[in-house]
Amino acid sequence: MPSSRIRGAVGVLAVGAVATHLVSTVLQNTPDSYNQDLRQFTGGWPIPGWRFFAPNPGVQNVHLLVRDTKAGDAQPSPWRDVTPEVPHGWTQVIWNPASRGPKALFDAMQQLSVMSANQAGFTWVTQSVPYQLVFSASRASAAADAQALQFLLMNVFPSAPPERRMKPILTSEWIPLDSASEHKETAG
Amino acid sequence: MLAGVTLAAATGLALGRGNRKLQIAASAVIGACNRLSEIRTPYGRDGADQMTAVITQYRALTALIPDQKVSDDLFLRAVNFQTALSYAVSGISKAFGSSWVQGHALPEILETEAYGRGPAAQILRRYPRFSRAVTVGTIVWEGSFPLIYLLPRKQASYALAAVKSFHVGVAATMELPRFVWGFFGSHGAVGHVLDTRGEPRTFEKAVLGTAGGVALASALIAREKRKVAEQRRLGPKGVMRLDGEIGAVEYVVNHPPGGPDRSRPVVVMECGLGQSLESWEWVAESLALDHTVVRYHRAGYGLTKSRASSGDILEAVLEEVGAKGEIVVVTHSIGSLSAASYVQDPRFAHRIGKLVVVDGTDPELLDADRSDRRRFGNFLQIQVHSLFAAVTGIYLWAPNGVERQAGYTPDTQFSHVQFAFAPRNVINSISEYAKVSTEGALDSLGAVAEVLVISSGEHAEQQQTFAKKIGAGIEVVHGSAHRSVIGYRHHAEKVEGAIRRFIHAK
Repeated sequence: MPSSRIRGAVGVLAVGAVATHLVSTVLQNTPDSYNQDLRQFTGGWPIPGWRFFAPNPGVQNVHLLVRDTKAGDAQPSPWRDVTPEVPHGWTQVIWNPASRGPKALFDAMQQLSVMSANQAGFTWVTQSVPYQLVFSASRASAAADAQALQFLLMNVFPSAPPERRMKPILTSEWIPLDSASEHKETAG
Repeated sequence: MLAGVTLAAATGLALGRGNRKLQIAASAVIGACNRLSEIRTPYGRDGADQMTAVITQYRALTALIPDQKVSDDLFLRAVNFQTALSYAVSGISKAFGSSWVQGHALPEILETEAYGRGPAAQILRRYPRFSRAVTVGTIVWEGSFPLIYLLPRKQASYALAAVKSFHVGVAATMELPRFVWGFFGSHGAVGHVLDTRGEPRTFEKAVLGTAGGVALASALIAREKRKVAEQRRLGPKGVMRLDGEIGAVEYVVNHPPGGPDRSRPVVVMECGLGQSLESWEWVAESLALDHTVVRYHRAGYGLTKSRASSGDILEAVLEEVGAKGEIVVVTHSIGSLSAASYVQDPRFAHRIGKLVVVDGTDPELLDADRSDRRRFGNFLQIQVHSLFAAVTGIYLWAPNGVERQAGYTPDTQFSHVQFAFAPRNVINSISEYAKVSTEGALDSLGAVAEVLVISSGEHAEQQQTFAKKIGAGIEVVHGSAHRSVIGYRHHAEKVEGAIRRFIHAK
């Protein structure tokens, strides 16, 4: 008898959890940018966002540019575009895991743009997850003997008039590669 | 490793057709892996991952319900609910997007590297008219997806098949095949609900009723707060209401502590678009230590019901407060165009020797923005969002730009925010933006004997150009934004200091 009561109580909790999640999804998907974080009401359970490409679709290509310095170099290297290349074709219509790379870069760029729009301090930006993510992606493209690197996130709007086509989002500080890795290890 | 476990569980799920326990176990594993992968990195995920999470996690959770029939029914209804919501939200949100409504969204998306290199994208790009039609058509069908539950079963199946073909089209165009798997999987739940129509659907009603109740409560609370703010304006806040021939006008006058000093000019402050007279609080408070400061709401804002011109309203207010001498006009944002409408008016021209423009609206830029369909559409989009936030009361619970750029004392902040989110003021802002006259504005402003432009750090370059056009000097408040330049105390002190130096300069 007690076990059936426990099972009944667990069942009621499950119904309550699903209902709470659904109500939270409705409330969090209002068609504007006033994003509330209702996860506090779902115990951290993520709430889906269903505004695909709306209200303002991303109509830009996000480019990641990197330059680095080596010991003895008077000048840093020229900027290099290290944006992940994504194959296109009929295969990608059926199977396209490579599309996650540009999407991740886009997500990081979007978060950094929001921080910038909110006039976040640069120190806060450099300690943020998207900044670290872009740094990690940049680091893989730095020369093996580079001592420091700098990255630049650039939005390119192909459908905009030529004078408004390029918009830099963030230029990082010069990041010493050795100390950065030490920092990363201790932080991890 | 997560991918490997997911693949194994997915294989089990596919092979376990008809085996409920296996399906639940496999769903639990996939749902857990989905969540772990999200914890590892939230970047690069999309709606298909979300739908997969919804299906698998709901399946695992509802399995805890002892009654198998109830469990399966609830699982399918919950997935169906999310599916219908996903389409409807997507469509409604697009209806709030200027580029979607104007038909540019899809053609512009198809120009990008990420979504515009698929095989079908190349074909679509050749037919821009068709692309625009698909853009608008997407808003319509997505937004009206819930109507599927009103269709006869056969027609509802056709509609679901059409939705499936849409996902296939998206995969072929934008190379997003994950959506096919994620959303096709959810259509079975829609079918279940279509098949069981007529039975009491208390679960959906309860969910929608709760969400609707929360939204209604939020809207009512917001409305009450706006009422309280309005009543407080006329009470403890000391705002006056003038009921004259031109109709009701809301204004406030601050005198120096020792009473009006007739030897000093009266400072008249013009608010920005949709901004309350409290927006000037920091600046007005300091200037009022030795000047009489007059603030008012233009036609249609706040308690000003008068539709008279700014010049007529100002004349009535100045008459009421007995201000007869020299005037210094200080404007913020679009308030500069309001001032432009009367600074050369014979009633005021001889009294206005100095003008301060804080982050003023350049009439030429405003003309360019208003005549550009996209830029005007973007403005409308922002205002419609504000209106939505105002009506539903979302601004009370969610962060918003008005609060972020204002740091007044709590009482003033409350009043300012309630004002900015009053639906009537939002609508009035749209009307003012569309109608405010720019004709001869540069000449009028430039004709004032002495003009100072005070720029926010955000618009320094633009304001430099504007200052040149009207022959004004310029000071920049570095680190400030368009509204925080007067909304944050440390910025407002700099603005007030610049105004004071300008007024007192010989």
